[in-house]
Amino acid sequence: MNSVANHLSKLISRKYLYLLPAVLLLGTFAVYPVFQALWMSFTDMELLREEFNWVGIENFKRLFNDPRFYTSLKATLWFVGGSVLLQYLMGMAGALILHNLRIKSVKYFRAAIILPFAFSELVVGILWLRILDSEFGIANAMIQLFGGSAQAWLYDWAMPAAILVNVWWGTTFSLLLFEAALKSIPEEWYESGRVDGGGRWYLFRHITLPSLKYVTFLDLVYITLFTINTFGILFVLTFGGPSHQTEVLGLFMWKQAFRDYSMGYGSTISVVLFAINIVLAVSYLKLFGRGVLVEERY
Amino acid sequence: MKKFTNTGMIVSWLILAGTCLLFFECGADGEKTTTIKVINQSRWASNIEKAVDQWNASNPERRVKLDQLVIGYPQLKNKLMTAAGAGQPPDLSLIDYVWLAAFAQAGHLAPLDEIDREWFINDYKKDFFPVFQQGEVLDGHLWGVRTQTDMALLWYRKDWLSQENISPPETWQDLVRIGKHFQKAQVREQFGNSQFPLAMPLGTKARETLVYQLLPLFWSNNGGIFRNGELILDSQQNVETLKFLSGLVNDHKIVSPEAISFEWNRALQLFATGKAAMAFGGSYEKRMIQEVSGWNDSEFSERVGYALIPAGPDGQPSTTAGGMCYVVYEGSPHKELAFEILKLAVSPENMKEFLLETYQHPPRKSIAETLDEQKYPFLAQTTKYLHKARTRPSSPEYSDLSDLIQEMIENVITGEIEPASAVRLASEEILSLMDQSE
Repeated sequence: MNSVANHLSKLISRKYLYLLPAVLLLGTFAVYPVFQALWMSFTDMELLREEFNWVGIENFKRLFNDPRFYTSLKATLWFVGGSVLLQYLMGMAGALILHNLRIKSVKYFRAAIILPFAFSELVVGILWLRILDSEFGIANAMIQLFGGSAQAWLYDWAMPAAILVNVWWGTTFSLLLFEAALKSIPEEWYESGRVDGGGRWYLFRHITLPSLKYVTFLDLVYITLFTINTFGILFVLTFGGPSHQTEVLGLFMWKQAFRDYSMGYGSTISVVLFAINIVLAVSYLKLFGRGVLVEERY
Repeated sequence: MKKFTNTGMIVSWLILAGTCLLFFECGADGEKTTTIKVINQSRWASNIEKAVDQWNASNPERRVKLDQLVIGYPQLKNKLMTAAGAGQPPDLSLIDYVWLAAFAQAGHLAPLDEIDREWFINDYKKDFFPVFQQGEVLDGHLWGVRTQTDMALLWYRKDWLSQENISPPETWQDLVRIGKHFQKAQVREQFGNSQFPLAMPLGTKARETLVYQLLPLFWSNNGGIFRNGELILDSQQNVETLKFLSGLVNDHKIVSPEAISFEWNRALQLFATGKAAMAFGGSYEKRMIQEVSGWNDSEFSERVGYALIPAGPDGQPSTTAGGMCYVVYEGSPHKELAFEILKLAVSPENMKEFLLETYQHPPRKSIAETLDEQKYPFLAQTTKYLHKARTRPSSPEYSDLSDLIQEMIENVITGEIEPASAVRLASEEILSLMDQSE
């Protein structure tokens, strides 16, 4: 086997040979679909129709004049904003609690917290559909047990309910990331802080938070981009209703492409979504400063 | 280190090669066995399995290996669309008859009459009810064969109504009156039903089921989408129907506002578990109601009544006749063989067995004529409703049209738009859809 590889490496420069499998896989499954979606966004392609036409920027004009796009954008803003903020805060709080918990059974807590992340988003959606069920769900049963009245969660509280479910599912990721980062902060730094007379808040603000800057950046970028592109939970819980109030951009795109079969228009939405992803990633870089990536390396 | 990196490189290349093999699905079947790919729903799966077994028993020299993908109705259309659109259709599949025209127009279906003209003339034309042939024979060609038919029904708790001396609902007023009765606290305490005694889907989440179950309500008030080829959606009767639907939720409060997020089978679950006294549904749900409730046939007939969709002020009780078809794909390399399996699956003997097993109605005259009323009272009684049944429009634009109707209903229920504006807007969009297709 090795002699074959040695022979091949004589023919082709080895560094390119090492890179090629990854480049081919990424090119086929990541880069090519992006360019294909971009190309399709300039056509009127439909799933069942073989012929299609080049329509230029017509799909983009249609999208920016479509009131559903703006309803969808608003829903996305609420869903992503609410989810990211709560996931970040709860992930950080959970990590601090777990890190400072000085009991033997902490591993069981950790296992319980990791559990939701082991489910796929569709399973999470179905699980919470049962919990929030107005007739048979445990949420209303608990409320009624304490004298409250049953709620139509997926009608009157559709967006808050969706955010709650997404946060329940996604907080684990932030928590694990922050907990791992907390373990890497040297204890001596805290000891020095205490010697200087710093209290808990002082230590958190001047040692913990700055030390977590890189991880916070990673966490926020990851959960923002992941949440903006995901719609499985909403698909199962509300299907975008009532009246498009929870129809985030991803779901809007899915409905256009795979319910109405307008692949051209659906691709246009995906291109806009891609652009929003890039804008958000760059904004985070600006917010944290480009140095955040360099600082960590040294 | 060098040895390690070289091995790593070889492993990477092997992974890449493996991925390529998986991607292109390399492999070959034996010469004498042909694999027939089928996309089907679970209730139909055994029907196809039996047809394949029968084929293999009588044709040992030309055996068929069945590769059947079984999925639920909500996923069926997407799966078929994406498979056909990607140029990788199955050989045979189940399809809702309302999608037939779009698939046929796109060139994805094989004209079955051209594969076996004799069967088309001597069996299909003679034995299948003409009303179903209208939806399956388009431009002179047969594109699909109906496996069964079903109809929209109003399920109600016969035992509860009888105990309360209430006659079954026949009009919209009856629906409201009965709903309000079962909303009373002492009645709810007695029967254990919820505060929303009528269950029905009212939102886009139920997808095609919403149109299937609620279009008869529009017909029952002398409204609808088309009449004699003319678009009649923007009419006073349809506005009244939408107001009535909205009133059930927002004024009378006998239907849960959550009905806009009901899945296609949610109403039947509420009915079968005793949470609802009445539910909009389909005749195909009888077996599912029994499965959820655990009632046997005699318990079912004691407890459950069924009626046509009640009449509005301007109309008559109504229902819609639906059904699924088997189709063969133009892109199939084994069209003739797939059609042989299809013919066996819809043969009078196999079809009758399938229908009696699943409590569905026959599209074949020969089966309808031989149904034993004593043995199968539900099928025999509801078959009579087929005389009042109408079918949903069969056109290539049906999917878009259905989406518009679904959106229209949901938006009215949530108060997003007034009924009069809703029918006007939907009407305009349907007209524009029709213009585009022309």
